[in-house]
This record gives sequence, structure tokens and C-alpha cells, in this order.
Amino acid sequence: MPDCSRVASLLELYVDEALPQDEMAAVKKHVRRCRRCHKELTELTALRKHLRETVETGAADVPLSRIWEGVAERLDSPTIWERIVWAGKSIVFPFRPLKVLAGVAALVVLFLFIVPLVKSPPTPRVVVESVESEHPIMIFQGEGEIMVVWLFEKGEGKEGKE
Amino acid sequence: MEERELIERVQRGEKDAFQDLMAPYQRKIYSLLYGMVWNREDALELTQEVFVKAYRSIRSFRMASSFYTWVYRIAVNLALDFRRRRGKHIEIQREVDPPSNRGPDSSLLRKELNEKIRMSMATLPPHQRVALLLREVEGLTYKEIAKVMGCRLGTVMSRLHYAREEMRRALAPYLQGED
Repeated sequence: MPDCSRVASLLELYVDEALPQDEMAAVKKHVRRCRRCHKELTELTALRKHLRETVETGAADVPLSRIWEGVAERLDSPTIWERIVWAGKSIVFPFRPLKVLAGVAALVVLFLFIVPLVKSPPTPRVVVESVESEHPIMIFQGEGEIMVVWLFEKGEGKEGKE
Repeated sequence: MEERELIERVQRGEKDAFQDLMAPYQRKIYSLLYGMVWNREDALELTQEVFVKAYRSIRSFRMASSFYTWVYRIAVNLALDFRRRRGKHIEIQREVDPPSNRGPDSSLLRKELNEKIRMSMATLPPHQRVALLLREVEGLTYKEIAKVMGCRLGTVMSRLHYAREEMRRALAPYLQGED
């Protein structure tokens, strides 16, 4: 037989029928004999009863047809904003917003990481800085201030060979 | 006609099927919203909003989840939004109680208790109030409440516990001695 402090902690679960069957039976048995736990349980069930009665009484005499009057009116003549939102949703359908978002994110990742890899490397722009006519030297300068010095035999240049 | 079939018809754009689909839930949704705002006109307007929103977004509903938790979720979100918009300026309507055959004393006590319940509920944090209404009035299980509120089971249990504790404290004179 469980003690009072343990049963007190289980009473809400008991009222909500959220305990395993054996514990439900043990609490039920204890409550029958224990005045304190019985009082606690009575308060919990009374709270439920009164709360339910208050809400149901207050909500009882509203004709449900009134709900539908307003709904039908709004469904038949949606506002411009509602039309825009609805049209947007129709375009997105049958995808869920999260799926659409995930799709867009995947496309962004693809664009940022894959596309630069596939793209061919840019052709370096090479500018002939100077040609030394006195000496067999040509000086090239590419982008990023890389200097290229190309030496060749005196006879080769004249023949058009590199 | 089965609910699944009605949902499919509404998803195909058959507006007429929507009323049949919502018929079992209209009173429940209205009661829940009434318990949130304690004003019949506001509850009515919110219920209409719930239905319109449900109709508009029904195409996103997947059959894997249950329809009523989906509808309740819309209702709870709208009710919480409503409270946020209105802040603390929610007018709690004084009710005209139906005639009672229990004699003047019990009728008076009942009226007083109703008033006290409405006032006490109004002071509860909105999420605790929703949990309490879904459990005590609508009879949803912890698991269903967790789904509707988008939180964990433990959170549902703690919200319920604190709400009940506060309500029992506020209503102690009315709850004691009942048997």
C-alpha cells in the first residue's frame, strides 16, 4: 500500500487516468481509506465538474448557425490580402512551407559551393610590361603583381619561335 | 460519410463538404475559445476565424495526423494571438444564468461560483489556461494536448499542475466539503 505523500503526487495522474492499471488500483484502494487523500481527490474532481459546467453553460445558448453565417460570408468574399495569401499558397502547393524553405536553402548551397567548382578558372590577363631591345629579355606582368621574366636565345625570337 | 473522405473533398475545393466536416467540432471549438476569452461575441468571432483559417489551409493537412488536434491547434494559436493583441484588456462578460430549479440559494451560489471561476481563469497564464481547458473541459489526453500545444508531455503536466493548484487555491471555499 503506497503512503500518503506518494499517493498525493499521483492524484492528478489518477484523475486524468494516466497511470498504469496496477497503480490506478493501488491509488483507488488508498483513497478509500485515507481521509486526506480522499479530500484532495474530491477537490480535483469538483474543480473539473465546476469548470466544465461554467464553460458549457456560458457557451450553450449561442446558435451555431451564427458561426456559419460569418464563415460563409468570408469564404465567399475574401479580402484582397486573403486572396494574395491564398494564391501564394496555391502556387506552393503541394509542397509544405518547410519543404519549400529546405529546397531554397539547398539551391543556395548548390549555387554557392558547387557552381564555383564547376566554373573554369579565369584566364589570367597578361600584359607585356616592356621589351628590352638591347638584351634578350621580356618582362611580363600578370594580375596580382606577379612578374614573369622570360629569357630566350637571341636567334629564336627573330624566327618567331618561343 | 467518413471524415477522411470529407477532408479529401474539401481539399479538392468542395466548399459544401466543409460544413459537414466541421459539424462535430463547432461546439467544442466554440467552448474552448469561450473559456479562453470569456466573452460570447469574441468567442464567436474567433470561432469563425478558426474555421476560415482551417478551410484556407486544409490543403496542407496530411492524413497522418488527426484532424481534430490540427483544428484545435489552429484554435489555440488564434486564441493566444487574440490575447496578445488585446493584452490585459479582455472584457469578461457577466453572464445571465439560465433559470435554476435548485432553489434560490443553490442558484445564487452557482452564479457566484461561475463568476469566481471566470475571474480565476482570467488570471492564469494563457498556456496554463489552454492546458486546463483542453484537459478538463475538452477531455484531451496529455499526449493530445502536447500535440495541440506543440510542447512536451512534461510541459503539459507541469502547466496542468500549476493551473490546478492556482484554481484550487482561488476556489477553495467552494471545493471543500463537496462529496
